[in-house]
Amino acid sequence: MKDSFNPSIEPPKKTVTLVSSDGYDFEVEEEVALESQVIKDGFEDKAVDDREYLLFNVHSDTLELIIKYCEKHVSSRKSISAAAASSSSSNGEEALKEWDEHFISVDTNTLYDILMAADYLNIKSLLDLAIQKVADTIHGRSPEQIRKKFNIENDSIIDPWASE
Amino acid sequence: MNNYSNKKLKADMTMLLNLPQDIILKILLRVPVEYLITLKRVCKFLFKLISDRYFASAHLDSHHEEEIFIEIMCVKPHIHGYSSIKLQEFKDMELKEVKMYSKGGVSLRASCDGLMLLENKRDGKQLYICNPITRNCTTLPRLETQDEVRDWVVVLDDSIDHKYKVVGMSVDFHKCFVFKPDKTTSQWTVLHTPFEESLVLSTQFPPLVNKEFHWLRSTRCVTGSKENYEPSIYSVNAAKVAFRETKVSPMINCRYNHNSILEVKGSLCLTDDTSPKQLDIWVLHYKENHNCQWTKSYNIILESELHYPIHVYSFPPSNYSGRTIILVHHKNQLLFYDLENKDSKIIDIEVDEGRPFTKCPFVHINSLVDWE
Repeated sequence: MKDSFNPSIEPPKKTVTLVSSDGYDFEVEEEVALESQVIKDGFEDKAVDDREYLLFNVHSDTLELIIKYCEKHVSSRKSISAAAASSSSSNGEEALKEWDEHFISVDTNTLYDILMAADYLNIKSLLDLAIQKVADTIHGRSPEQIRKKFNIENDSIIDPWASE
Repeated sequence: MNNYSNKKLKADMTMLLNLPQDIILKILLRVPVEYLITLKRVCKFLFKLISDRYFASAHLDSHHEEEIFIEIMCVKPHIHGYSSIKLQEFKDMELKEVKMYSKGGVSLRASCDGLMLLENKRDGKQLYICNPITRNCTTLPRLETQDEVRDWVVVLDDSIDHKYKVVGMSVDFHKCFVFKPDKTTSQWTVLHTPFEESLVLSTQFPPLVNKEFHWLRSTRCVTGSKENYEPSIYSVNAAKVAFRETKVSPMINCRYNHNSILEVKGSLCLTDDTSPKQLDIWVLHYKENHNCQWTKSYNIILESELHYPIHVYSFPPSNYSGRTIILVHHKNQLLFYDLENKDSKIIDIEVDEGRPFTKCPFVHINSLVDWE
């Protein structure tokens, strides 16, 4: 993934405000908010005192999760590159992968919310993670189990493989 | 920003189908083919998405890159069966027997992107195209000709309409037979090649390199009392049906059943066994004015001696950035060799001593691609 921040140019601890669809304010560090490509794209054009984003499609419950994910990824990236600079061995990437795996192990509805929010905010790594999770859910299930899991109505008149 | 709402956009349980279609497609691209076949049976909407031919080619592309999903089969004619191997980590590699219908009296002649070209054993001019994953099968019109066909190939014609076509080369190299599914004419086209009749040195299935199929062949030249062979490569661009010939460097020792043509990182290569335990790979570089130059670029040192015929293939043939796996098939052994980290894995295969097989077609069986 590309580094989405540069500490030598941007002074740290600057914050932006993210407003959820149900009206809650979340104050986050700039570099955390910049994990979202949508926020990053228009960021430089926005006045410094007007760095507030109304996220009409993201509920506070989901936004909290998204912020947690972005904060983790920003801090992990820092510690991984620090470890690489001092050429000390680090299992940072492995640990982050494990953290991701745990983070995305949520119920179907929450997974749906994360997917939609990651798509809306364009956070590529999170979108990839959520998409892979749904794809993995499909593995090894019968059509009936998949219908049940995702509450899909069986609209096929005849199942051509039903006799198998 | 759209869809303004103060309420949480709470999903009901129909999560998968409520997602925007581009996300559903992204999810489906991550699902291996065997599960996609199951998903097709879930509902009409998914059936339609997965059956789309553009989805099929997008899925093929994304799984080509991941490399590990490539599955190959090799024919063991003595038992009329097939085996498969997943090209993944060498340590986990094993040969698995695949159950296939063989009572129909067909034999596998060529393969491309998951499509298999089958030949009627009693009538070599009668061909069928099928995809074992989607179970779609098409009978091609019989090829009416007196000529014997040396090799068949299946190729994607991406120059015009992204359809597959079947190309056959006659034994004497004089004629080329082309068939392409078309609504108006469903006939074979016969083309005359500029090639001359010659001895084919490479007995492998003709490999596809840079959209061309290649044969290593030679002509006997007698000058005075001296007799020598002049090897060259005949190439057919199967999409455009264009022909060309490339000279082989005299540095490369070309003999019947010894050399193979393959692709390494997008270049045409030729193998040469300098000793029974060493295999050299020569890479062809094109220069200005149609000149070409061969350079010895890789060599593989083997633990055991090579037995003839030797057939060498490379995987993944369509990915230039990833790792290149070289497969050496000789006698009763399959040797997988990673060209970058020089890792290798040997798999022994059953061979009937009385009927050693001479050709071993490798088939990708990980696609939803169909003929029509």
